[in-house]
Amino acid sequence: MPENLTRREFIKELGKFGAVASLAPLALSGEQMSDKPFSIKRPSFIKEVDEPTTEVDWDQVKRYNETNTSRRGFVKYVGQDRLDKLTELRNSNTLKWRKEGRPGYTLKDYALNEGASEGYADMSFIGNQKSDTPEDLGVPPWTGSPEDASAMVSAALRAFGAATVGFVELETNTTEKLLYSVDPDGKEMRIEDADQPEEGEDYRLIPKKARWVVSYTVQMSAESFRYAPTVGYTQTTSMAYRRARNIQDRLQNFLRTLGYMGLGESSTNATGIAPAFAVMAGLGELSRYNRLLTPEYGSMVRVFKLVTDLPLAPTKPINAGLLEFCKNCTKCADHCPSKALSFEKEPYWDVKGEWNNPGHKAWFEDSPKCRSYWYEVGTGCGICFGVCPFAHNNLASYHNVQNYLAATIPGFDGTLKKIDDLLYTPNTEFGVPQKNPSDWWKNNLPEYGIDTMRSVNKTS
Amino acid sequence: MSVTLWLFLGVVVGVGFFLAATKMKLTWYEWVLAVLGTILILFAIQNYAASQAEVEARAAGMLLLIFGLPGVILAALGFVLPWMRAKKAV
Repeated sequence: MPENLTRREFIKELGKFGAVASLAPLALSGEQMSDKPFSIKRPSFIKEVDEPTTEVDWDQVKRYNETNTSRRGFVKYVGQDRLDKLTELRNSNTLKWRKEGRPGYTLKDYALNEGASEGYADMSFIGNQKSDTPEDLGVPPWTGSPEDASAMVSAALRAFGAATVGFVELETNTTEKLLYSVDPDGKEMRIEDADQPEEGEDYRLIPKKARWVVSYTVQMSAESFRYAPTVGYTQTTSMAYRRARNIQDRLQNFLRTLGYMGLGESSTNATGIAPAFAVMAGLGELSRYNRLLTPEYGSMVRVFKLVTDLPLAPTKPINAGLLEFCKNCTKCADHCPSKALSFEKEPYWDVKGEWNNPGHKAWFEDSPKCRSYWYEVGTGCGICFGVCPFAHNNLASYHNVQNYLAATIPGFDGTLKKIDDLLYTPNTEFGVPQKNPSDWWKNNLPEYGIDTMRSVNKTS
Repeated sequence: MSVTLWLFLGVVVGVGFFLAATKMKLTWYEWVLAVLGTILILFAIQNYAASQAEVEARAAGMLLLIFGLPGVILAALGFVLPWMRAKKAV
C-alpha cells in the first residue's frame, strides 16, 4: 500500500484487502471452486455418450453374488473330482516343465513371479486408518465442488500409480446394482442408512451417503503379454494387482485425511463388478473377451474400484468404436486355446452360466473352460489379452491411425485386424507364446515394463 | 525417436525440396508424388524406429516395407521424371 493515502485511496485499498481476505480461506484450503465439467482428456474421435455402447436392461440387473464367479465358484461348476484331476495335471505339467527348463517355466521365471507377487499393502474394506484426519491437523474437512473433487482425486490417483480414473454416481435402480450382494469371502454387502461403514462377522455395511465410486485402471506390460501363457509372463498381472493394493491403501488414507471414507476391496475383485463400473465411468468399452478394453492401453489394464462419500462429478461412458471393432474381430476367440470365447458377431443377452451376471448384452464367456485351461498351463492364461489388436505401446504412429479408423470407420475393422495379425501375431498354434519367453530377459524394458508417459488422463 | 534424428531428417527434406524448387522444374503432379512419397518415407521411418523401441522387430521391418517401399517409388517418380525430362531436353 502507498504510504500517504487520501481518504478515498485508503477506502479503495481497504476494499482490495477485504476481497483478498474473504478469498483467503479458500486459497488456504486449496480450493478452486470450479464448476467446469470434469472429463478425461482424449482425442476428439473418442466420443462421450449418455448410454454405454453395451446395452443394459437395468430391470434385469440384480446385485451379483461374487462367490458365483468362476474365480470363487470353480469347484461348483466342474465338480470336486474334475478339480482334483486338474490340480494333479497342473502339478505334474509344471514340475515336468520346470525340470526340462521349458522357456517361461524355468526357475528364474518362477522367481520373477514370486518376487512380483510380494511387496504390497493389506487390503481392507474400511482401510488401515493410519493417516491423520482433518481433526488431527486442526482444520475442517475438505470442501469443494464435485468437479474439483474429481480433478483432485484423479490427480492423486495418478500420482499413486493409477493409469486412468473415472467416477460413477450410485443410483438405486441402476449403478448401485453393480455393487456385489455378497463379497468374495461370503460376507453380505449391505447398503443402509448409517453414519459410518461397518464390518461384522458376516457382513459389510456401506452407508447410503457413500454414493460415489472411483473406478481406476492399473497398467500392465504389453511386451510381457507377448510371452503368455507362461509363469514368466504372469509377473505383469501379479504386479498390477499388487500395485493396485498399494494404490487402494494410499487412496483410502488420502480420503481419510480429507475427512471422507474410502471403502475399498477387502480382497481381490471385491466390492463390485470392476469392468461394469469402468464402462459406466467411461474408462473403456466391454470387449469380446468380456473384459474392459480401453482406448489408451487397450487390454493392458486391470480395473479397480472404491466407494466414497466425497461428492464427485461422474464421468460419462464413451464410444471409441471398440465394441464395434470387436464385432468384426474374433482374434481373442481365434487364439483362445480353451475355446471359451464367443465367435458370435453380435453380443447377446443370454448368459452362459451362473458365473455371468445377466441384464446386459455381452459376449458371455465359458469361464469354467477358461479356468480349466489355467490348470493345464499352471498359470493365468492371458492369451486373449495379449493378442488383442489394441494391446500395444502405441509408440508407432500406425497405432494412432488404427485407433482413429477403428473409432470412425467401422468398415476398416476387418482389415485392421488382418494387418495386426501380420505385424504382431506370427504364432497361430494354440497355447504357444507369440515370442520366445527366453528373450524377455534380454529386453531392456522400462520400470514395471510399462510406459507411464502415455498420460492421457488430464483434467480439462 | 531422438530429436537429433528428426532434426537431421528435417534438414535433409528441407534441403531436398529447396533444391527441387530452385534447380528442377517439377510439374504439379510431380510435386504431389514427391510430397506423398516423402510423407510415406517419414511415416515408415517413425514406425520402424518406434516399433524397435516397442521390442517389435517383426512389425518394425514390415511397417518399413509396407510404407517405405511405396514411399520410395512415389518419391523417385516425383524426382526422377523431371530429371529424365531435363536430360532428354539436353
